[in-house]
Amino acid sequence: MKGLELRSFKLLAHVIGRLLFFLLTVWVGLTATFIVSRATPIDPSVILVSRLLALGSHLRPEEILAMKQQILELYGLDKPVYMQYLSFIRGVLSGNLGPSFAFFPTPTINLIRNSISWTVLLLGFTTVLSWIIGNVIGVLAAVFSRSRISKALEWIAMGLYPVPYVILAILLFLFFSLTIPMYRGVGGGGMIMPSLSVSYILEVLTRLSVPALSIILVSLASWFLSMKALALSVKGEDFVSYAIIRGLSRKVVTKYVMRHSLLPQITSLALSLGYIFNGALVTEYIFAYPGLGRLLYQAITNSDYNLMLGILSYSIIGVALAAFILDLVYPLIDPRIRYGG
Amino acid sequence: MKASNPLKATIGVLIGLLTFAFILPHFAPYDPRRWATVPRDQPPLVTHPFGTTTVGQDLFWLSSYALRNSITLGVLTAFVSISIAFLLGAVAGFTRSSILRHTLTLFIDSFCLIPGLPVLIVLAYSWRRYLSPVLIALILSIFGWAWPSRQVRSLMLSLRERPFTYTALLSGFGMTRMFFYEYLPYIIKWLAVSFLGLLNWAIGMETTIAVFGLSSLEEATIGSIIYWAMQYQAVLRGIWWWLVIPILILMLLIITLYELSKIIGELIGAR
Repeated sequence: MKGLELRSFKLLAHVIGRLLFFLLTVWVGLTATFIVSRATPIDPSVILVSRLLALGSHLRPEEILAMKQQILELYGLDKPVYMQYLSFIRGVLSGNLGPSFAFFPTPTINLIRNSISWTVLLLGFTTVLSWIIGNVIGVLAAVFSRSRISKALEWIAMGLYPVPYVILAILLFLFFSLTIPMYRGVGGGGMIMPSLSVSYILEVLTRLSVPALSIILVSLASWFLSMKALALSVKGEDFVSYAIIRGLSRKVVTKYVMRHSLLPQITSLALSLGYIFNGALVTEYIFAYPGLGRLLYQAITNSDYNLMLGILSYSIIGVALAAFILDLVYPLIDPRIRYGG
Repeated sequence: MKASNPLKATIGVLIGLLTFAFILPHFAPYDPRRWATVPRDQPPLVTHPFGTTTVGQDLFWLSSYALRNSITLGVLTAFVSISIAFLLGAVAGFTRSSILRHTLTLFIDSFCLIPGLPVLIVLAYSWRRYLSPVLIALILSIFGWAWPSRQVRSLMLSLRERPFTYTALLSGFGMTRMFFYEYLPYIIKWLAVSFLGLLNWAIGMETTIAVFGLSSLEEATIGSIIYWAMQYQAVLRGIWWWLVIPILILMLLIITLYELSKIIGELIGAR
């Protein structure tokens, strides 16, 4: 009975701790976004008014001033800073960020909603695939650390790992566009309507493939290297030596090593989601993949400040949420949290 | 003895790159950033070893300028970030108050998790008129410190649990003295490795935001050369060297720094 209480207490403490971390991350991120948006030399109302004036409308000076006032009120910029802060947070949480400047009057949230599923698809696919493959190869390379393949793989990984996502994306883009004659700059093209047909799924997969490849190569190298290092240190521990002396098969030993090295890998996966997300943003832009990265570039070229802040806020919430979900999966893999002690 | 060959090779390449970046610009016959100083779109030949760009810049001198700026920017970022990282990480690992330790740990972790690129892009966008390599370095430092800080914290925590700490404390060694005489020399070696890692991160990050068009584009950096090469559709027009050469230089630099940090890491670990 007492064991059961301890067990649920440990689990509960873990979940509450991770929930606090999630809330804190979102809060720190949104506060940073707010500070960034206010500590800037640009005035969004000036941008919007000059954009309207550039369209050729003739207004008297007092009308321009009135319009500026109207815009300041619309975005709540005439209120004291703490009120602005509160309404900013409320706006993000309720999904009401006002209209986009560049695609006026489409609400910012609609643009983000259209792009975010593409990003989630790309990120989810690449992260899961590279994490699993990287870890499996990493363990095998550590168990068979004397084999030539293991050493060759390490060399390749060490060449790939430090390369920034953007460079690899550009190189792959060049490679594919120069070698494949009919290459369509995969990812680009017009909008396609979602449906459940085979052709739609094939279309999505073709658009996904090359950007995904460039993210997978870098991530794979990094998971491989860290897994190999972890597994090598686990391999030196007493229980593994004992297992080998007991005459257990390589397969079982590999399983032992794998089980023990996976836990830190999950923790570091949760923490590096933000870093992988950065990589996805720039890859999407290079390959014109219709995700948040391209939207962000459009926001920059159109001076759409509001859209940028929206993308920023929801990126933070999305990444924090993904890490939180991963943290909830953690107890399923680590029995120490489930059973206590 | 086994490590001496890769070490020599790495240091050799590094010295070559540093010479290219810091000594060569003094011998430039003209300001390489100026347009129309040389014939346009020349492929790499004896007169222009790296070729020339569409706006009439000699890529050889331009990339030596750019490499200097990129390395300077990276060093500045790494320096500022390491200082913040050490301060916060050391406090989080050393403090006796568990509330302070947990708060700081959560804070550091949340900065690791927050995707820095969009924040940096918005910042660089709003200050784009004032962007200089120094300002970019300061902006990059806002996110650079988080990962090394985590490392410093866990190093401190593990040092505090080691037997030599207990022996010293029980022999009447003060905690402050312990920190300055025992922990600090050990941590500084680790910081050297983090410094190289940060240098790499900063140079890569500058390239990334430059590709979005948000670096100091009038000033030559590796990122801004890549940006202009892409803007002028260099590869499509067959002027591949404009894009390929800066990328090769960047990759050479980054892989060299990574190798160096790995070798140093192994030397420290071996002790």
